[in-house]
Amino acid sequence: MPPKPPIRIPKTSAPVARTRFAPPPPTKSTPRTPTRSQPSHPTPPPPRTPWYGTRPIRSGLIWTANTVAMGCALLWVRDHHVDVLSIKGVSMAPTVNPELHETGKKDWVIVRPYAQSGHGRGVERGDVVTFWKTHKPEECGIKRVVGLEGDTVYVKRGYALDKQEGKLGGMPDGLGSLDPDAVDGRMEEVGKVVVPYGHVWVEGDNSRFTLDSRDYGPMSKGLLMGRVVWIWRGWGEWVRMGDERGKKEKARASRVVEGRAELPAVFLE
Amino acid sequence: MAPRLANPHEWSRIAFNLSKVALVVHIFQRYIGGISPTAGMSMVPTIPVHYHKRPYILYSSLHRRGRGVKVGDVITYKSPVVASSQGCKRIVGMPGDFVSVVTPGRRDEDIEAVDVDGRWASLGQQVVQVPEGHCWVAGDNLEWSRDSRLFGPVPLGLVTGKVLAVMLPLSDAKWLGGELDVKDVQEKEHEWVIKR
Repeated sequence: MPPKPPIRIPKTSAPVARTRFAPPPPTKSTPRTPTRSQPSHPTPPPPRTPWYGTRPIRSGLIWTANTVAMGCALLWVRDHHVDVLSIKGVSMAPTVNPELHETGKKDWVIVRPYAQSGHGRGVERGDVVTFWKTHKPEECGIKRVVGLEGDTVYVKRGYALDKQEGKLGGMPDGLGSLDPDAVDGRMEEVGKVVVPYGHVWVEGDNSRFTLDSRDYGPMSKGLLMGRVVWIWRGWGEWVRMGDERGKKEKARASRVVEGRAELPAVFLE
Repeated sequence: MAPRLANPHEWSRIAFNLSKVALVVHIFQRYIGGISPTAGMSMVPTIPVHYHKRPYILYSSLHRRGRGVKVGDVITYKSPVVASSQGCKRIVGMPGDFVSVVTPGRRDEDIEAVDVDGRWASLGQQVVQVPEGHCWVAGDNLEWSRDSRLFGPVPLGLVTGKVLAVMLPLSDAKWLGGELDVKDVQEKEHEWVIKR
């Protein structure tokens, strides 16, 4: 079988019939115009939306509402979930701010607010808590909860050992009432405090530089904000909240005998 | 409307927006103010008590923690004894003021009877100087009120707001203006008496 002749493709395109209405064929010398390729169904280009949108009042209101909601969400997280505070004092010294008096280095604490914040539910002995100070309503304090309601606290200093009566100005002091049958009519036991219902007894770890329940008496649970869970001392220095006190410091703290308290009958509904 | 609500994405969008609204309302009530129902007869001439309708008050939370409150203001506060319950009383003394623990009009022997049945003034002192950062509260209905005579001075940190007006029993709706509804009847003796 003889070989087939190779297929020849014509190199020149077929001649276009030039009519009066057909456009001239493009030449290399003429620059390409952008309107060269026309779509089959010409649609107008989409209108450019200005930066303020097509409905500026409506979108502005929505933007404002979302910003307000975001701010409220931040406040809600701070109130109910996690809070960060910087601590300025040395009242919790071996545990928080141990180097403040030497280097001036301040600690930050991560606070976990109690469930249903402000009610003080779930507080336990040994927790380090932040609270609104009783004597300065706009300041926060940080102390360790030593006694709960109903506990008996034997203090080693403070108002309970002073003989001066009415030093707390009518605040609940937890001291026993006067015993008219005793020989000299004194308190039942000097230095003994029973924490009243709905209150806690807080003390600072650094018992030499602290203003705590030994001075202003039991503190209402409604003032508690939250429990300190972490201490932050700079990058990479996360310390879990614990008890760094030595034996000497612990010996200076009050002695606590656990007890129970019931709601006084006057406050029942 | 029906095909739009059949879309589960639409439901989640509605739920998200509703939760946003609830959040804003919650924060607004806590930090700025709001309207809330009250119960109890401890403030009776000022805030009335009804059988079936609870009176509503308008409160301002801008005065929380005792910012700018003064003697004569009606405040809401968390009870120092039961922190989950709120009270609404009138401020009688601010820090440094001397207040009478014994109810005016009661005899002095009552302070002895108090400790026996545990009903009145458990403080054991007749006159107290309100300590720093506290306030002394008392209900307008002194005969039926659990106030500072029982639990002592209230820390200002427990104050949640100041009552601006009584709203809902329309017959008793009024603004509470501090000095306006408390009258000093005797110039010298300073007894706080409610005007009706």
